[in-house]
Amino acid sequence: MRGLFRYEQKETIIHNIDPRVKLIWVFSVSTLTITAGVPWVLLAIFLSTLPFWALLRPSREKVTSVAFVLFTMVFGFMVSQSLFYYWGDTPTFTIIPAHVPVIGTLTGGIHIYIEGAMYGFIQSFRFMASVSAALLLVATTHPSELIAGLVRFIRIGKRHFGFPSEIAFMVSSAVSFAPSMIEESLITINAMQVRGLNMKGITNKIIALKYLFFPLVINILRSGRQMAIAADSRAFRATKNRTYLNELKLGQGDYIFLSYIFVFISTGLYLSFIGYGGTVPGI
Amino acid sequence: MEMIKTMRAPVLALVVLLAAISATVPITQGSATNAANIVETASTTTGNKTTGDPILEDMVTFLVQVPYGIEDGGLAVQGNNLSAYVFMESFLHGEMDVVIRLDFPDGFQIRGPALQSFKLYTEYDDWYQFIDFYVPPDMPTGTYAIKATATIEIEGQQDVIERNIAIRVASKDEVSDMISINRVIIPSDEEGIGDASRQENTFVLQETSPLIKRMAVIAGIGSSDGDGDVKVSHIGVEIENNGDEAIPLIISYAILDVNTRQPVEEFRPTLMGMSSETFSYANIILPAGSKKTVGLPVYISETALGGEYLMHVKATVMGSDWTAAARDDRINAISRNWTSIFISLSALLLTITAIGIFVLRSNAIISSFKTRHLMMISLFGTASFAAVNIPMTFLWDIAHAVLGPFSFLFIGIFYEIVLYMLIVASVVLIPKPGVVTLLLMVRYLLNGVLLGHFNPVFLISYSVNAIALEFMLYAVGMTRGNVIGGYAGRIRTGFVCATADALSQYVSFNVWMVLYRLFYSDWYIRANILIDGFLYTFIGAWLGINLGNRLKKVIE
Repeated sequence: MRGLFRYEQKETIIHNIDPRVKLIWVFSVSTLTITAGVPWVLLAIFLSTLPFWALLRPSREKVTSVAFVLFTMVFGFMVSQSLFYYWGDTPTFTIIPAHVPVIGTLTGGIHIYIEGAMYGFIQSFRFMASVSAALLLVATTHPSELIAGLVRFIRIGKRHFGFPSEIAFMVSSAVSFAPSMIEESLITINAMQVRGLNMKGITNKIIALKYLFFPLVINILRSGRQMAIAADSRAFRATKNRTYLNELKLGQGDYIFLSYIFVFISTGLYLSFIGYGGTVPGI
Repeated sequence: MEMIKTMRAPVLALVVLLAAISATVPITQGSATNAANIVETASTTTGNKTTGDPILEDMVTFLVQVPYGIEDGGLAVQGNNLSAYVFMESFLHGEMDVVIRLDFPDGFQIRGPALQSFKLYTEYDDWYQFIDFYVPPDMPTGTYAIKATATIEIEGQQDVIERNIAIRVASKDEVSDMISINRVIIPSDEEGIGDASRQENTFVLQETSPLIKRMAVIAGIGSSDGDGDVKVSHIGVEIENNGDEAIPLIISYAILDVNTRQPVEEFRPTLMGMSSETFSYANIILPAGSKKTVGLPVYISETALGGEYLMHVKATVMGSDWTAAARDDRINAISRNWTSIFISLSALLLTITAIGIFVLRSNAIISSFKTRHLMMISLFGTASFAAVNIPMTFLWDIAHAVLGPFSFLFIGIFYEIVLYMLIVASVVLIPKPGVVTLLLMVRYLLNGVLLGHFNPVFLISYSVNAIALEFMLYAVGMTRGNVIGGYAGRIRTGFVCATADALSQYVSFNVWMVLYRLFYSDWYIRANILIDGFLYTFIGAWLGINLGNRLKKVIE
C-alpha cells in the first residue's frame, strides 16, 4: 500500500501539465460530484478520470492499491447507508430488534436495507470521482511542485496569490518527514518488542500505541528544533519577496487542458441545472 | 326578438300538424328493442342521429349521451355500471310538457325509470337527468342501438323528436388492450409537460423555509391558515388508445402507502371544505389511435412526511366504475431539512470568511511565530496525520464491517483521543492563537497532497473545527498564555475542546448529508456527538495536557 500515495516519476502528458491546472481539475471534479445527482452522471464523472489514469500508465502495484482504496470506499458507503437509509420497504435483515432493551429502545432497532446499500453504492461515486482525481494529481505531481502551485496559485500584476511560503515550507517538511516518522515508529515498536512488549491482539496493540506515543513526540520536538535551526541558518523568512528556482508558467498543453476543464465543468453544471442535478433526498 | 316570437305561433301549428301525420314511433307504442337491434358494423349505426321536425329541433336542444360524455359511438364494458345523460333545453317563450323515453336493447338493465316527464316553463329553461344502466357480463359484444324519444306537447299539440345512439359493448380484455398508460410524468406543469429541471418522480415538500414563511406572514405577504398550507404540484399522465374508436376516460390517481397500499391522507387534504380528490381528475375523450398527455393537480398537505410513496394512476371508462388501465410508480416526497441546509451554508460562509481573513492577514499571523514554532506545529500536524489519517484510511472500513453502526466507538479513539492529545499538547507547548489553525491546515494539506482528499467537505469540516477550537481556547485563556494547572484547568480545557469538537461534528454531519446526500439516523448523530465528539475529546484533551506538560520538561 505504500505505493498508493507515492509520486510516480515518469514522462507522460499528464505529468507535464502544470500542477495548478491539475488542482483546478481536481476542484472541478469535486464540485461536480456535489452538484450532480443522477446516477449515470455520477458514474460519468468518475469514468471521466480514468482516461487520465490510462495516460499515466500506472504500475500494477499502483492499480491494485487504487482499486483497493476505491473498493473500500464503496464498501464503506454501502454499509453505512444500508444501516441508515430509512426509505426502504422492509429491512433485509435485522441486526438489533427494536425490542432489545437499551440499544433497541434507543436506536429504534438497527436494520439492514438492501435499498440503502444500493443507494450507498450510487453515492460512493461522488467520493470515488474526487479521490480518483486527487490520487492522480498526487501520482503525477511531485510534492514540491504541488506546494509551489499552492503558494503561487495565481499571479495578478507582480503579486502571487496562494498559501504563504511558510505554510508551503511546513507542508513540504511534513511531507518529507511523514515517511521517516512512520519508519521511526516501526523502529520504536521493534525496540519495545525486543524488550518484551506483547503485540498480539488488539488490546495489546492499543497498549503498544501508548508506549509508542511519547518517544515519537520527543523525536518530533528534537527534529523540529534541528530543522528550524537549519532553515534559519539558510535565511528562511529573511525577506518577504523571495524568488524561486523554478517559475511556473502555463504552456500550450496546459491551455488545452484548461479548455477541457472549462467544457467539462460547464457541461456538468448545465446538466445539473437542467435536471440531472441532485436534490438532496431527505434534506 | 319579439318578431321571432310572433312568427313562431303559426309555424308551430304547422309543425304539430305535420308531426301528427308523420310520427313514426308514437310514444305510447314505444317498446324495448330486442336483440335484433344489434347492429353488426359501425357503418350501419345512427349514432345520436336526429329524427323529428327541423323547426321543432330549433326550439329545443335534446341531447343524449350514452354513456355520459359521448354523443356518438360510445363504448360500454361488460359487467359494468354506466350512466346515460339526457339533456333538454327550451328556446320557446312559453311552456312545454316533455316526456322522454329511453329504449335500451334487451339485456341492458336500466336502474331507474326509463320514462321521464317534466315541464319546461320558459325560454332557456332546461332539464337533465343521469340514467344508470348495467351491462351484464354475459352481454354479447357488438354494437347496439339505443333510441331516445322526446314527446313534446305545446299548447295541446304533440310532436316527437328521436335520437338514435349507437353503443358498442366490449369485453374488459378488449378495452384493456386498447388503453394503456404509457408514463406518468412527475412533476410536471399544469398541462402535464415535464419539468426537466426537477428531479424525476419526486415531489418537494415544504419548499419554503418555515422561518421565511413566518417572516412573510409577519410582513403581510404570506398566508398562515386554511388552504395556504396546502401545496400544489402537478403530474402528467400520458395515455394511449390503440383501438378503432374514441373512448371517454376519467384519469385519476391516488398516492398510497408503499407497504399498506392505503391512500395517504396528507395527499388528499381538504380544499374549500371538500376533499382534494374532487379536483384531482381529468375527463378526456381519447380519439382512436391517439395518445394524449393530461395534467392533474396534486395537493399536498404541509404535514406530509418525506419518503417513498406509490403513485397509483388509473383510467376508467367514463360513466363506468371499472378501471380500464392502471399504473403504479414509486415516487419520492422530499421534505427539505432547512436546519441542515442552513448549517451547511453558514459553515461554508464561515469557511470562506476565515480563509479570506487568513489570506489578508497571513503575514501578521505567521510572523508572530518563530521558525521553530512553525516546525513544531508542522511536525505535530505530521504526527496527527500519521497517527490518525493514515491508519484510518484502512481501518475505517474494517471497523464499519466488524462493528457496523457502532464503529464510531473504535474510530473515535483515533479521531478524537489521539488527535486531541496532539492538538492540546501543541497548544500547551506554544500557547498562541493560530496554533490550532496552522496544525489543522498542515493536516488538511497533507491529507490532500498524500491521500488525495482535496474536497470541499473536508475543507469545511477542518475549517469549522479550527475556528471553533481557536475561539473557545482563546475564550478560556489557553492561547493567551494562561497556565493550565490543577483539575479545574484540565476540566475547563477538556470541556471547551469537547464542546468545540461536538459542535464541529454536528456541522460535519450536516455538511456530509447536504453535499454528499447521505443519511444518518438521529440516534447515530447524537451518539457520535456525545461519545466521540464530547467524551472522547474530553479524554484526549485531558491526556494532551499531561503530554504537553511532560514535553515542556523535555524542551526545558
